[in-house]
Amino acid sequence: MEMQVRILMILILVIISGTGNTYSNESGDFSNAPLGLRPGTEAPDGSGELGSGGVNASGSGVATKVPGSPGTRSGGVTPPAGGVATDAPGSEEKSNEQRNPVLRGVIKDATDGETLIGATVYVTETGQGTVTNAYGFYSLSIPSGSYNLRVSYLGYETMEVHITIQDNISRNFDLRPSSLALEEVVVSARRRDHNVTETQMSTVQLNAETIKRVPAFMGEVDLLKTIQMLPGIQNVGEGFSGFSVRGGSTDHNLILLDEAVVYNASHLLGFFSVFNSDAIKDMSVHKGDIPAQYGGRLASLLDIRMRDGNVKNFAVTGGIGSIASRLTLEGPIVQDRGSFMMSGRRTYADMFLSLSSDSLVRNNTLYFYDLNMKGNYIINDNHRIYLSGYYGRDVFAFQDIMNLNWGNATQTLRWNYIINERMFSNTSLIYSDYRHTLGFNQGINNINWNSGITNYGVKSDLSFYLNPENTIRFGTQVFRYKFQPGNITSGNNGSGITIPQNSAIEYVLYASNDQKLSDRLSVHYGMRYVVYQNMGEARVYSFDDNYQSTGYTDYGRGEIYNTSGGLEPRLSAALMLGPVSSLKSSYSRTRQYMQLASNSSAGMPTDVWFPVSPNVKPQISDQAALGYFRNIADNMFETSVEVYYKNMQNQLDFRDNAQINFNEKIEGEIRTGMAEAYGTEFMVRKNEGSLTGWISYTFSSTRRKIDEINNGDWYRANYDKPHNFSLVLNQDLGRRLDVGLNWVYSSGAPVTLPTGRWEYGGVIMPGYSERNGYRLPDYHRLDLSVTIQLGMARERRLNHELNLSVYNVYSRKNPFTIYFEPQEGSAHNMGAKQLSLFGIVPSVTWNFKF
Amino acid sequence: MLINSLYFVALMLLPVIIHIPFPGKLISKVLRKMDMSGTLKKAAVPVVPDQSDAVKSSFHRKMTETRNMRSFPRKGVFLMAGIILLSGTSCIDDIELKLDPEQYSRLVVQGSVTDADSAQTVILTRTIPYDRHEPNPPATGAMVTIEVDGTSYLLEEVSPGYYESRDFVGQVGSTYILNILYEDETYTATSTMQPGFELDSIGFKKFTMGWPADMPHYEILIYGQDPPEPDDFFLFKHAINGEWADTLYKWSIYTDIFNNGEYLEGESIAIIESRADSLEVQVMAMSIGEDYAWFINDAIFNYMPNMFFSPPKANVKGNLSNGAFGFFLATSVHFSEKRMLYRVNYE
Repeated sequence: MEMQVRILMILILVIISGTGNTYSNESGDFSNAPLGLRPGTEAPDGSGELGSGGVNASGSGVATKVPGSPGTRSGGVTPPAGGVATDAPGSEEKSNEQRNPVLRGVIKDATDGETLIGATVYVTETGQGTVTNAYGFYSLSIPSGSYNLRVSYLGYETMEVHITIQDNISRNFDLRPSSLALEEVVVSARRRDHNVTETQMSTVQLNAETIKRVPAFMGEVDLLKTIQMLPGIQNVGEGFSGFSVRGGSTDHNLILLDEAVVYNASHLLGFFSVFNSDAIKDMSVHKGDIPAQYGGRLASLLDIRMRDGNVKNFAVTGGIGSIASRLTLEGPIVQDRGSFMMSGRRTYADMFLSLSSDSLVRNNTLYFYDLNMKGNYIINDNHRIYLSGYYGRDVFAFQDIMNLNWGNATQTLRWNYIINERMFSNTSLIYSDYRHTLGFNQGINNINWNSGITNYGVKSDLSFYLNPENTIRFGTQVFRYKFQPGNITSGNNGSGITIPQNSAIEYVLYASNDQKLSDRLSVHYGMRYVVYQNMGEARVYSFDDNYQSTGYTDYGRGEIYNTSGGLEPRLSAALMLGPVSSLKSSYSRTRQYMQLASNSSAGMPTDVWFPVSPNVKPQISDQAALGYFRNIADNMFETSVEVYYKNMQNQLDFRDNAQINFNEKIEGEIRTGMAEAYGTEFMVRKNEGSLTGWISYTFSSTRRKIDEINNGDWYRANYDKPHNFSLVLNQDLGRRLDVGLNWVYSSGAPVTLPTGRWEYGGVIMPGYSERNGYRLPDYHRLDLSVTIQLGMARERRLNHELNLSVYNVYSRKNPFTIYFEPQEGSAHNMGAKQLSLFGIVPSVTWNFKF
Repeated sequence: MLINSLYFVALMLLPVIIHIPFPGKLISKVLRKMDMSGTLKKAAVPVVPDQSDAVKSSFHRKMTETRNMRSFPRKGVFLMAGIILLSGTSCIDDIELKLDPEQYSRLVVQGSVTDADSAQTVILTRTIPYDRHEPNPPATGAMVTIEVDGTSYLLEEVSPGYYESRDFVGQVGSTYILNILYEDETYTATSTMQPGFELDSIGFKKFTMGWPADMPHYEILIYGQDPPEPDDFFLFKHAINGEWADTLYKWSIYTDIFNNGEYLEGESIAIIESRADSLEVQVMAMSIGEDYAWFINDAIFNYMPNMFFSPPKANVKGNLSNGAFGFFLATSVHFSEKRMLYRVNYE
């Protein structure tokens, strides 16, 4: 292990020393990298893009607006600049001896001061360009001279500026939304050809506007449902927000909300997600090629950033929908220096329950709510802090007999610090928590079951913009996890039973570099190293070869009883084949140190997270992918084809008929094996014009092999649906009307159906011969929505719109599950039944902003 | 302005229009169905101790039904799912399925040795394809023996697939080995008879939570001393008017792993519903091992229509070798007195 640390350190040194140019502290661009690290890794080539923006970024910029005075010198102190700038192709000036001056600044929305992630700055004369990063910063080094700049962002009016550069300067730009902005679907806010030029592959970024234009179930805009229509991402069941990425399980997805882990992203058993679209600024999903800054989950990273709030004016937005209402307040704390945002949402379906005449229905409670809050403040040019939090709960009670509550809480305190012109740092204190309570009441007796997971820690990420060809990121993280599998109490006398809680501590060190080797070839390479230690107090059972417990060992508080970890290399490369096409490839290894004890296909709120241990090894995934990216018609259409292969080790499943609740020996129920997945993903996306949207098709296969399951033969994974097709369109019909359409088709999910029958205890028992040997009928569905603008923005009065959505327009009865039950008449007649969850579901939502 | 207000009002009303009429009736119906299959009852009432119970033990008593406790989260979520889905637009349809016929037919064993004064019986049948809606055929012509303490007893096939012997009576503490030779395959199982549970008496209590609300529901309570041995498991069955409720989801399993040796004072073992003025009730206590308790548990889970959140479907494994289904159980059986339940006493 020490050896590995040493290797990593050496790697960092090699990266720093090997990248060529030394850097001089004076100018240069640097940017901040977001905490998020490498989102885009970028090193593109061709133009200087930086890729980072998107992904991770957190939201806002560090810097404030320094009025731009050109010519201002910025020495170290200036506002940070941002982008990761990579620079331009053209400028090959190996600027060793003489570095070019640096132009940098922040690009914001002129109306509310929200920083723009992925806006472009383009130098007409040289063809150089860069893109703002997650905090809205850009930085570009160009030879001294006079230039025309084009500053642009999709959905905003392009700004043309003439500047003269002699020395480092900082310029901020405020872009105005174009008049069409409201109707325009901005599928990607980033550079028009970023998909071709960036090294990063297997990544999709969506902003809140895009997500809001997709027809929504019950009118509740849902980010998780939207990403399920992207290639390579599958849902786990009709209407559920759980998803599987490239053959992974639902617990293989790292879901971050402002950097804090969201352990269960579902409301109402998964029919809605915890993300309130009004509070979300930007989201990106990595299906592979996960930046080295992130890890801990095998399959994907879903990085969601909350809005910072309007720094110029106080604003209220909200909506009233069929099942929930939303209200968001935002405004400056100090004009142009700090802002806040508070957003709440609550469902009111339970109010209709009380209208029922049936007491069985009337005396129930069923609702959820969310609260998102964020504040940020610019202390000075080099320091900016953010505080963000989320709190949400689901509340369900049935007749005073039973209650079930669950929810997440997260908090993130971030500090952006611009160390010098080329070095940006972000340090975050992060807390997140998920817990549920299930209680039964009967007279004076009651039982309550509490379970949860808490983690908190600190991470520090640095970006070092060494020169236009190299952007180095490195950082460290320490997290503490506390697992509480079960704590059962009786209200009578407080007696109870507790399955001992245990904890773990995770140390992470990572480094990566985006390097442009030539105009045509750029690479990204990174390494992540994790040490994961289980810590007492804990009781650890040991098991023999037959999974029978042979005793246990108790460990005291703070005692380390198991250490695991390892290196996770991440590599990718992009080769430009021409001005509009590129070939990319990537390889990444990811490891996972905790998992969800879930025994059902869809996942339940009562599923419990548990860590690796002496009995449970970390899961490992190796993924390789190859992709061809090409833009057509002046970047109007983006097309891509990606092929991936993934091999997963130490995959968990539970033995047949496992007992996973209240079982302190749950590790004895686990069986491990391997899984492999491969697939091809096609996508065509149109981001501009009055018709926008995408078409995607995925062919994929995922199989698992575990000795004690299915007789040790390969079997289909639960989410193995070979064919997946999605069509997502949005047509702008003039200034007031906007129509959206989705059509999705997928193969049916695998199911296990009985082949034989036998009788015992007076009932007919099923006999199975193969797990997941059958498939449900194919799934398809059409959704439509119409959005009517009732008041136009521009002026500062009420701006509102009406959205009508219809889910499952032709009321297709898609099977959610198939089961058997005895038929009337004959005791031996078991009839097959199909449960379809949703027929046609219309809904209406009214959104307003003033 | 006026138009905006109208819009507003209309929007407020729309959800109401969309969600009504509320299918309350459907919900009740389905809840009752879940109730029948053992889901809801167990969920709502893991075990209902008598109110007069010592508070001290009531919690442990609740914990006793391992089966209920471990499955109660699932049931809770079930209930919630039921409410959500049934208030929506979900629907259940019959479908035609083409199931592959089984590759081969397996042997199914229902065998027991008891210490009661009756024959030791082993019933052998064979599995058939799932969509053949008929009784399982008997497995005839097998050679069935039960061995205890070195002596082997041959069971005679008294009717097709029905093998019995009256040559011996089971004894607590003895280990019985079942051997079956059927169509050139041998199958074996071993079971040790555990100490039985002496039922002192039984009682009744009105159960207030059942559906429909106007149907009288009663709990059947048992009284008796748990034997001193630790880790006992007992199976309780009840008979109404002489008819044993012999379907597995009506059985009740009790374990003393948390409170060994206690006197059970009014442990609820079943909930019955009836509009009759009087019923004659009897309870049977059978000693079982932990393996049989889990077998029954798994069997119930696999039998129940599992609409949501079902765990992976898997064969229920008994204690027979060579892939045969079923179970061979040595059990000590005790019966309670028959007792009358008069409706008028509980009104």
